[in-house]
Amino acid sequence: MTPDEAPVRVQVDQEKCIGSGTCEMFDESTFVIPDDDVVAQVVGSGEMSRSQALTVIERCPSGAISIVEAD
Amino acid sequence: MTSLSPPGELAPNVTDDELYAVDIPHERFAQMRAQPGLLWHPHGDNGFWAVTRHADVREVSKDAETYSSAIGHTNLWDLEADALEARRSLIDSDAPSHTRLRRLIAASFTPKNIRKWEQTVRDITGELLDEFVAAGSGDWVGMVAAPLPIRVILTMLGVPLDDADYLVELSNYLVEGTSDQQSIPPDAFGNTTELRLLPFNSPASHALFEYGEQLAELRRREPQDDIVTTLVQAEADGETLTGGEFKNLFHLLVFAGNETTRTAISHGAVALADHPEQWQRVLDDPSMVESATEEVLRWASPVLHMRRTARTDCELAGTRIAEGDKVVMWYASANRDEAMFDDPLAFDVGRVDNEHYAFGGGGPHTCLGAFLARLEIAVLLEEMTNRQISLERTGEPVRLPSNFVRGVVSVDMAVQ
Repeated sequence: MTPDEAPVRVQVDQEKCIGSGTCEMFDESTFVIPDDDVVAQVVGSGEMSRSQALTVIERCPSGAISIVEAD
Repeated sequence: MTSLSPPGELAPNVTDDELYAVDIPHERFAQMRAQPGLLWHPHGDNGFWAVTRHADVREVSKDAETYSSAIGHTNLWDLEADALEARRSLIDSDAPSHTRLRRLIAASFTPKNIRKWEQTVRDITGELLDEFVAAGSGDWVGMVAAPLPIRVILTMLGVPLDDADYLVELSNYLVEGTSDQQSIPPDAFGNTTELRLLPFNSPASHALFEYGEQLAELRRREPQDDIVTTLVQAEADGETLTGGEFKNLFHLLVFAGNETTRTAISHGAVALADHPEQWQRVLDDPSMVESATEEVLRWASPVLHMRRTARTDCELAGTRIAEGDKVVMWYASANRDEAMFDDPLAFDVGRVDNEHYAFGGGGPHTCLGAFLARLEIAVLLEEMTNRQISLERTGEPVRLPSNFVRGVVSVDMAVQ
């Protein structure tokens, strides 16, 4: 597995998110804006490949998505 | 404070409105992009740092903490403090008030929720195209590009379609306000507010505010499944919207929801008519609609620039910027940056990795209506391919002399 394919876990900063829905469109198995909310939540394991994570981090307009660094 | 005599060369003039009656001054922007650092552009009794490269626009756009939208104004000139407060909307706000306002409206414009409007967009588009085909020729702006987005946004807002013509009229007066040509007197529509306190210095803003307040009142009594109802109900849910915030947001949605997409559709039609081999590619392979939509957006660059103001001393592209300096992002230039785009002056409906800045360069102020605009343009192209419509330009586009909105007043087209 190349470093780009290695899974990482992502998180959404609830203070920064402006609810554009960009992440939900990118990968709705990882990001969802619940019907009764306006900010994105991570669902499931929140795991995705590093390259996918870097792409969605770049596309998020509010800069709210980041990789959870291992302890 | 402001650098009155910055070192180095000055930028060529790219703010003269009359330049834009001809076209974007591409050569001047190319010259600026080629210079190291940032160029200082004199303007009025002061000036601004001209940000013309794609990578630099991105940096300013994404760093909303350093580059404020709330100080001074987001247009080239400063507003007096009371005018800025009276006119303040989503566009002229910083976090945390920007985040709060944006969240109140965000849900209506997510890709998931925009998709729900696809059939509405398709019906409106089909009707306008059928009328244009039946006429055989006419002004593309007046017959298709203008009515399409305004009918869509008014339907989404919950404005009765009987009132659409009135709101189109108001919107047209607002566009005039972005240039130096206002054709209505300060007291038009019963306006008594000083013009400097109104968006675009236009009395039409007063009329639009009044209309929005009446509609809000109606929706408080009779809620519907529309955006105005969402906004008035948001007032009741702890997350409150003040009266001033509501009317500025309503104004922004009506104006931004139609003017910019209208501009994209106008330039898009001109580009497709002027590059028939590109349109043939889409006709032959309708799966190219997606990339063609992005290329129309890059090509059109409907909003030519937005301004920020440095909150602190900072540095960009090796140039030192002082606290309080104006920093202007020229999307029109970033979208033709040869460092980002292969053959940037070519219109290519198959362009890949088309990271244009028609919706801004990223960051929290990214166009709220981006997914709606994309839907409208894509549906238009799809419905044109379904009907096998090819356009021929029968006249020169009449362009708005404005350095801010790259408007097209009219352009005559014929169906081939």
